[in-house]
Amino acid sequence: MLALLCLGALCAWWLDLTPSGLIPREGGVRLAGQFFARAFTPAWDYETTPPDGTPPLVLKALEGARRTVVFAAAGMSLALVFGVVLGFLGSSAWWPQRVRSSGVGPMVWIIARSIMVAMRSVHELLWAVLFLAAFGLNSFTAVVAIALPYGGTLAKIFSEMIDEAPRDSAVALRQLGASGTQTFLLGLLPRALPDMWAYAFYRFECAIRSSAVLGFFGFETLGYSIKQSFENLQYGEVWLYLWTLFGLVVMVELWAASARKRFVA
Amino acid sequence: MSTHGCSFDLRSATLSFADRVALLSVSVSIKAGERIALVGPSGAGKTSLLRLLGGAVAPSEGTLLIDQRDLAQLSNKALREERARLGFVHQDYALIPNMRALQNVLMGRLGTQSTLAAMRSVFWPSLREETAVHALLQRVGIGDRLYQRVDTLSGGERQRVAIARALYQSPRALLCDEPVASVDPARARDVLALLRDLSTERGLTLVASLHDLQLAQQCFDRLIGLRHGQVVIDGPVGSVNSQALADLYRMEAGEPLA
Repeated sequence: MLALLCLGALCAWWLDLTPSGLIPREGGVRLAGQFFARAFTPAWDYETTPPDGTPPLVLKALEGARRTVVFAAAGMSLALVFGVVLGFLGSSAWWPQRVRSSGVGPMVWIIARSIMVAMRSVHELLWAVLFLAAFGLNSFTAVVAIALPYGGTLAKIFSEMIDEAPRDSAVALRQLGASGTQTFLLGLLPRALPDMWAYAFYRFECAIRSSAVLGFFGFETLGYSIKQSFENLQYGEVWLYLWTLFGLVVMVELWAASARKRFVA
Repeated sequence: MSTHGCSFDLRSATLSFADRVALLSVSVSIKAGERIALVGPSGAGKTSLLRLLGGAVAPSEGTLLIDQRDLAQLSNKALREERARLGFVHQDYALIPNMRALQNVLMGRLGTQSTLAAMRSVFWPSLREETAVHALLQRVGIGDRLYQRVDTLSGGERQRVAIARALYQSPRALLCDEPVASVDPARARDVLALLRDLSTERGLTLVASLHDLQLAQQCFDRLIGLRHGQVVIDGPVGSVNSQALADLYRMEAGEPLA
């Protein structure tokens, strides 16, 4: 703990952090004041007259929200596939004793763990930059940019949850003659599943935020509208979008809670 | 349903692990349908003996014959089939807490099913399977708990689910590790009487570890006493007196409080 504090102090020194850095620039205070003043009075209509044929602001926010969720859900679905496959292969429990001793198991295990690390060591925004260069601005780019790091993170956490799940029921099933696969699927996985479920929901919430931020690159999610309105100093509009995002996260939270309650393996 | 038990013939079996010897040259012959109470202080080797009989571990030395068949000679598949017919009730019951009693009992047949058939059976049981499980749960006294999640059941009810899971295997023997370790005396009598009756009804060989001479005499035919991994008492329950049992459990100077 003390070491961590010392490290923190050392880093602050390296970064040349001084309290004077916290004094806002001239005009900064005014800008921040103007921005936060609109927090509880978001705009319900455009603050400047839009071109003809533009949908009402509220509809635009809802459409942005829909696209944000769609990108997040598409990315998350793909990430879950990566997460489950790699998470299984990357867990020690998946490999029964005999495969482990023959050498095939450890090889696949190491490969799976390496892929997991590679996937999550690059942030989704960096993946997006890479794929934008490679594929251009299409939906595929955003979905894969989310799916890769999320898949890697899910795989890591899933494999740990599986390996840390209580083993007693697996031992019992093994005892009554169950095969390795049966023991994994019925004796071990159900013990880890509630935690895996909860974690996947939490990551979905993160995916919604990532998806929104990807709008800054031009994907038509909430971030796209936020960036536009912010640059035009239309803070009321920005706040409407932010509240929409907030609403989305709350909805996912409620959904996760009700799903968890219903959850019977 | 199996209506006859299996015999066990353990010949000078030693079970050793990296750091200790759990059983030392143990020879025990158990007839089909016999009811055996296994007694002895903690660490004497009761669980090891049960695991050995259940085919969970192979003896480091010596042999185990089940119905005259040497387990060491069996292929992996045949060994799996052998284990599938031995019902084991673990001390901590080892159930899946977030699944229903029904599903837990259905898992008793895993040893005889392919993975696909097992998943189908556990998640979409047929009416016949449900009826069979319900009958078993009724037999062990908790028929109304069929659809209840195991983590909502009491300790005693969980144990009965574990017994029902073992029965669903259509076993030839029931091996029970400390079945009454965590229940009060009245319930202990109930559980042991249930095991005794099941053994009589189905002709099952029954081996259970416990610590109470009176209970052993009520529900079992024969008593085997273990101490330091060796058999020191072996005879009809009536021939053992409380002094012999007290000697079995006597603490030795310098013995660690296990």
